[in-house]
Amino acid sequence: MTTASTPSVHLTDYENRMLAGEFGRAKQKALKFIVEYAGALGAEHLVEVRKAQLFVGAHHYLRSIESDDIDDVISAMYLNSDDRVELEGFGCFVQSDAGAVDAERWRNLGIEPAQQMRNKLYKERLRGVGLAEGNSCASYLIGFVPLRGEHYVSTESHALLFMNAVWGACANADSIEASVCAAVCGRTALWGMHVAENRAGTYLIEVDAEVSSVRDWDLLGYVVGKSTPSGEIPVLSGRLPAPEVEDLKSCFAAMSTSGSAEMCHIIGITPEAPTLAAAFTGGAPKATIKITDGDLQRAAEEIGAQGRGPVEYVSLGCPHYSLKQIQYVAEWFRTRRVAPGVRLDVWTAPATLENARSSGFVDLITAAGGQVVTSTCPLVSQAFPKVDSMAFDSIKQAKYMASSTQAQIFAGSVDDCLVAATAGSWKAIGR
Amino acid sequence: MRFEGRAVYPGVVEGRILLARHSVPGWNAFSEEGTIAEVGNPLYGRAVAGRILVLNGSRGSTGWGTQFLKLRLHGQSPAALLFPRTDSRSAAACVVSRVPAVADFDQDLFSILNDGDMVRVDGNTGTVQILAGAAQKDDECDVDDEPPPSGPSDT
Repeated sequence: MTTASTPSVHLTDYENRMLAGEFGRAKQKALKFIVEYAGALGAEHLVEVRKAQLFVGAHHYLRSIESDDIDDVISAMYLNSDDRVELEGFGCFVQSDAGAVDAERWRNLGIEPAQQMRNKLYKERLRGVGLAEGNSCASYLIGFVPLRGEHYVSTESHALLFMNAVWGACANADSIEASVCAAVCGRTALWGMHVAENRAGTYLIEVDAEVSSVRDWDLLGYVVGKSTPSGEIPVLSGRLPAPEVEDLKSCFAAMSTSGSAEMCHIIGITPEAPTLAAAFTGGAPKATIKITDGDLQRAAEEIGAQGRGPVEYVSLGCPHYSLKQIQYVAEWFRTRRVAPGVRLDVWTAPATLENARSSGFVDLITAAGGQVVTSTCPLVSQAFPKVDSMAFDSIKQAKYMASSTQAQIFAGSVDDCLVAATAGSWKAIGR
Repeated sequence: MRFEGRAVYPGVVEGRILLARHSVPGWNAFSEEGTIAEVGNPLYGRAVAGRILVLNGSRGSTGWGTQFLKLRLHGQSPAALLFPRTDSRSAAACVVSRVPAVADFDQDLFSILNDGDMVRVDGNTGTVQILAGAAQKDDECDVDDEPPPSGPSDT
């Protein structure tokens, strides 16, 4: 078997000892992956990572390995190893990303008992070596906070973009396998967003559009992602109001669906872009792209079905909802009910669910016929009802679900979706 | 014709080009049969197994590399991977694919290469050589039974 040539990667004494197997076979395999990955990038050194957000659990794609032995699967699917090795620990703090199952409400989601049990065993195995249960894609809302200049890894593309852009933290959206290996060995390639001089903006995005809602930011993110080539860093300027965290959550989710941006500056908002000159570190943009209302409208027409139609399933919360967003839904249902024959799921982190419960929001949504669920989403769990029509308030979920179901998919604002859940039909007009 | 890039993953292989100008997404990129599964992708339904797959960077989820890991585990990997420019997802995908890979070319791959061109990829030196154009298809070099595309491969 060939292995990647890695002449350019210089290792420390500690790293060489790990690569020689002194700290166990799992760390050895993980570091071997990272060294090959660094070589593939052309990186010369590794960097220590302090924390990791990892997509771990009984995910459906892991069934590519036909084995009930979790270490068999971890070895092949995460550590790129043809040999079975046993994970003995992580090299940094590790918090779980959104996973495959809501461990409390799996029955309500139609998840099979066998899948729940499989996920339970995965989580027990990983907790045994140090996993902390966060169980949310929006980790940054529940205490996963890498600060400016801090090196971390994350399997959640939008969260990584958020943490790099808004907090100035340092990670590349490389892969699930590279992130897990980095978490196990505590090192990743010193390349890309881990290097200060690589973080300058390269593409100027002049926004000349009305951006006044989460939906608008979602659409803007989608258009920016589509307009920015791989490896480039967009700099957003122009007619933009100061965003809230929910705006950027959706913007970055859509941006990392249509493109591959790992960093995004917003003039006057993100810390590395107080001015246009600072965002480009004094250089000139490679290209300038203007985004208009027409571009956002065309994106709205590209994602999801047009016109009206019945809706049988409404899913809110991709990325996982904040407490503020759950409150908004709860207030809507204070005087309304979910239409008969419609299922409404509101997705969030387990920690946020507890806050929503004590705030009375969960009771309001439940009493109206909906449910607040956690830890996963329709796409990741594949736990969605077998219906003919669905509605999402997320471009990311709508776009990816189109390849998971034959159902007609509507995408719009939270208000569009709440109206649909209440009426049992989609009536959205405009973007 | 020969052109140079940066050697990313070692090995030497010959095969026919499949140009993915719009790349593939990081979720549900390939079907169980190893064909491109993204609705709306100009290459929808095209098999990647045994092809020299030219990807215009990566796109979408950090699960991008996992799409290529699944291909390898199911015996559906491309013969080689070519990237005009390295990014973090593409480098990780090369490692899990374990196929010859070259990136960071001195010329624009998408204006040089055509779907179906027969090429030799040297992942040790970073060299790519065109052996025969798509129109000069040689049965001995053929890597699959798929006819060359009749129109623009990926617009």
